[in-house]
Amino acid sequence: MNTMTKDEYMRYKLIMSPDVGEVQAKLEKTPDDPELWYEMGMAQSAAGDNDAAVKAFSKGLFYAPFDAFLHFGRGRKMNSAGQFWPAIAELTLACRLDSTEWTFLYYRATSYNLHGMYEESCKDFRDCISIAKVGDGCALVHWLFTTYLLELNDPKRAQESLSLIPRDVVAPKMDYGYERNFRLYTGQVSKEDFIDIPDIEKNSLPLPGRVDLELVTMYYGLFAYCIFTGDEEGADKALLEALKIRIPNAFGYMKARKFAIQRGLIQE
Amino acid sequence: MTTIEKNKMMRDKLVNAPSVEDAKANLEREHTASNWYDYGKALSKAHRNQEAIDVYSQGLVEFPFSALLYFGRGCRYMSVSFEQAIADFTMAIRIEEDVNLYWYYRAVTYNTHGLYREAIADFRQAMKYAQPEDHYSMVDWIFTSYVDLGDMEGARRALDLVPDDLEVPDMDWDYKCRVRLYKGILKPEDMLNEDEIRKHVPDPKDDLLLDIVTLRFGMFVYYTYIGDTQKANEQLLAIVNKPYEGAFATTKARAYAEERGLI
Repeated sequence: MNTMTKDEYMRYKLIMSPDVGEVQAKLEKTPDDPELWYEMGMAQSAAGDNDAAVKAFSKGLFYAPFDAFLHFGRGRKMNSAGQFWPAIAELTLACRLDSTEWTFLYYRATSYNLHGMYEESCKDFRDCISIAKVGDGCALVHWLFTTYLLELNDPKRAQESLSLIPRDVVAPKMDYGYERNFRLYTGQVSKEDFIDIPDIEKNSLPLPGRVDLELVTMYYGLFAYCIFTGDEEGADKALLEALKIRIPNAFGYMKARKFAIQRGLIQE
Repeated sequence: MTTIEKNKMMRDKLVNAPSVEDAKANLEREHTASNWYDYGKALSKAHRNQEAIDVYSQGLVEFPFSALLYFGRGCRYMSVSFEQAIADFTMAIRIEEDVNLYWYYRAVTYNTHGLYREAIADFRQAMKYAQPEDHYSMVDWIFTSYVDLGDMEGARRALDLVPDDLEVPDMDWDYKCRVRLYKGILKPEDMLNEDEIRKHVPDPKDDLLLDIVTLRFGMFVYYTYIGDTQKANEQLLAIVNKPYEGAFATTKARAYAEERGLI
């Protein structure tokens, strides 16, 4: 932690994926270490066991009840386990314990969004923009644009959201798809040039499955853009492309599926 | 508010819940942590556990540092998630240390999950913030926890923590009887005197069943303490054959009966 910036530390905590057995061995030596319980929560989460992850984060809270990361981790997993209000309560507390960490607020915003509470979600996304670095704004503006346009049927506020960050913003590599979407929405890249696999391979995070993840985000962005410009046929095509890449946990996939059902393109 | 006033208010809140409709109306009239708590409590009394958890959580979105709401939610988690219950009670304790019920309920949760030493430590903390007339229930649990540990000398010493005969609130009458049984003041055959129970418990639940089950569990602990396993087992069987669901005594009796191969 000492050598990491706040952002680097956040990313480290967010993407860590330790092995359950290894963390268990460490916990046998120091069972009262809240950091290790956070690691166990992340390990159980990586192993796909949401209930065990919630239990691990909760155990960490026995020893450090005001640890924002433990509440954050628990809130994320409660969400995955379908415990919406407890999740929102956890994320709210994390935000209150560290009001400078926009990532906590971002997850609350996405949770509200996936639960259909769009105004609350947009308020949180806008608050995120006020505390996040400019480069992190692409993801936030993507959420605002798509939520105003597609969920609240408010193209005026969707359009306005595009001016919340500078046009020439440069996003971190992990936000490749969001940056591309922002350029599409603001007319800096054409619909025809938008999906560029070699460019994704070159400029996104070099992780397994990453290209597919970026593609899902981008096809969902393309769907929104087509709706914005009145291209209904293009919108349907984009949704079907997004659904060909089966990543059920990806936000873009979840949203694409919802709209594909709504538009009669697939059965529930 | 003083510690005494706070603890009195908490006890009242724990015992008296408005109807779901009234609690909802109060909350709609005014959003306070107390009104969120009452609504959650009303739902839990109506056996709507999951809704109660959601209501306490919604309250926490509005009041993220309300010890009362963590306590309420912790009580609901007790039967579904040990870890979430302990985490919530711990939050309540850290936010407001001088409320004996927060310590008491964490202690009970530890005890019912076999963590007897942690339970004893928390019951002792609960006693620190409670009035002497409230001590019987805590001493009973400390005694029981030592018996659970097989430490009969520790159990005996725990009985010195409370005088033989103090006036107690109605809701603690059963506990007082149990402590007096452990002390040898009451005899086992006098424990289930229904006329006596009715005299002291003005609003008996389910035709005295809650009180009978609570008293019987005390008899089980007593017989275990004096080493009479056969009579102890008889009490367990009597409880599991006619249980009062939701009572700690029933939960513990069932666990012991299973452990002993009785059911």
